[in-house]
Amino acid sequence: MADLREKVVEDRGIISKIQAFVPGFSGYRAKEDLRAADSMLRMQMAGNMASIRKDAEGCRSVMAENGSLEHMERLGALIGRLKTLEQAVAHAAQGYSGISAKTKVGEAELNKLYEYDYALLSSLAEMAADAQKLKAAAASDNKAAIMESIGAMSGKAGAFEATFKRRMTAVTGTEVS
Amino acid sequence: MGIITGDKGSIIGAATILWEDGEKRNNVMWKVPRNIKFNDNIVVREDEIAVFFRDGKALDYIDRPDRYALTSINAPIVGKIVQRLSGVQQQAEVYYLQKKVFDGKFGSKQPYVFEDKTFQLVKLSLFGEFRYKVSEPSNFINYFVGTLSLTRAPEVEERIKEQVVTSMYNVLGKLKEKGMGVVNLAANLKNIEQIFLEDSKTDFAPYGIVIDKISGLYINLPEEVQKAVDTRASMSVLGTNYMGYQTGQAMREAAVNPSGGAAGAGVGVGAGIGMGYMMMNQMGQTGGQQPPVVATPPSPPPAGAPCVKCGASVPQGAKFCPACGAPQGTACVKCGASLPAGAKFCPSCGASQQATCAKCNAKLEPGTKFCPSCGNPTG
Ligand SMILES: [Zn+2]
Ligand SMILES: [Zn+2]
Ligand SMILES: [Zn+2]
Repeated sequence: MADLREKVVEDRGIISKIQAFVPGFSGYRAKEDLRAADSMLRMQMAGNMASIRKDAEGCRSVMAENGSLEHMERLGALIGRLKTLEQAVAHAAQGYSGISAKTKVGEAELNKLYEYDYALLSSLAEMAADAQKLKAAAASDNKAAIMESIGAMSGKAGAFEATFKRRMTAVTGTEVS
Repeated sequence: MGIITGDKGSIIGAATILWEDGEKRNNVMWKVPRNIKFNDNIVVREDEIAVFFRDGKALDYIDRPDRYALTSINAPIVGKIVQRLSGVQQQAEVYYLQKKVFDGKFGSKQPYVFEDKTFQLVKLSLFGEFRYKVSEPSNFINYFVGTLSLTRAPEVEERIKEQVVTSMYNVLGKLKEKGMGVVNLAANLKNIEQIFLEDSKTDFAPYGIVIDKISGLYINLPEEVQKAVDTRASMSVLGTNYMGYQTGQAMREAAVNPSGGAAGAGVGVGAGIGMGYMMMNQMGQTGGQQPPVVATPPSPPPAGAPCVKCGASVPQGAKFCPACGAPQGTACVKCGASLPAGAKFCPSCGASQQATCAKCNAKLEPGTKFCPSCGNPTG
């Protein structure tokens, strides 16, 4: 990974990108900051996740009203998945703070963290956009579009989950690489 | 009991009140068996909420773990409660609630009458599992204790289960309005669960409860209807249509009972034989084989009784119309004799088959115990 990305991180460009999602985020520095910044980011992510889930629940409600049943179970599964992710992101604090005291976090680890964070926040933004599409599709009872949006969101939720797991192992220093 | 320590008789109070684990078990709610007074100490643990109740209403609740002395010293925290208890005569009831989720099973006690296009009035019963938790402690206490005067957890839980069944019926009613028939229920159980989760938000908000999971929903259909539904389901898997299947069935019956009398299968399944003959002919031609020799060429299919619904010919004895699936002949409510389709009176015992509700005059399904329209017992 010694390439363009490193430069981006060097000039702190990625931090300003993250700041676009999380205003006031100043980056991880000292150990104390690290914990605070991590928690701030995760709370933000859990919050975003919750609003995406609420959008999805709103769609389920509209579909229930319309008697639009085709993709209702699939949407229910997506909502369940978002709920689980939301909890995982919000409650990861314990595992992290327990280990971070002993874990050395160097420049390289930080850069990796920023990349993960940026990736996570970006995928949440995309999911939020998909949720808007889903809302429009549910409102017009466009079954093909409903199916497509649910599929897109489920895919992104899966990717988010995988990235978040890797981020947590990176943070806790258990990643084998 | 040992829940309350200190001087129970004291007028100014000074007792410590807490919910002992022994009382807790799987109870969502516990009423402290003594009224609370100014100066009492209330212990609230991590998984608990203490609700203070007086004059038919919740005064306030505490949901953060700590030991609270009801004195004016910590008025900022227990302000409202202390304010209302500031005087020796003032007392309040205390209810503890648990924050955790509870699992429950629900099941209908009375069958739900589903008005189906094809099968008309179908009695359904349903059951399943759900998970709930207290979301609004004040609403919870105001509703169950204030409105319904239920002070014991089992009563409260019973009421919640009843409401789950009622809400589930509402979902079924809604789906029926949208045109869902009884044959589609089985395939839509998961969807019904999803709609229930959605609708239950508003149904249960006044109770201060959220239902966050529903699973294992099962809807029980009357045997006759279930058979027809199963038949349809297996046909759609095989890609055959219902009518083709019925014809096939008729052929099989004819094969088993080739020389039945006029009233027997031979005549009854005439239509089936006719069609079967044609099919065999076709098969023979395309397969390049000799058409099987049929001893007696099929006479024009004798018409069965016309379907009560669509008028198509229904083989005698068939319970459902092969064309539209509508149920045909029924058994007498009194003597069990087989009745001609649409019969109002039993030809064998004369019993009237079409009862009406004494109260609202609605038509009643034979054998029903309650009027589907007004709920009045029919017996
Ligand atoms: Zn018919
Ligand atoms: Zn009779
Ligand atoms: Zn009635």
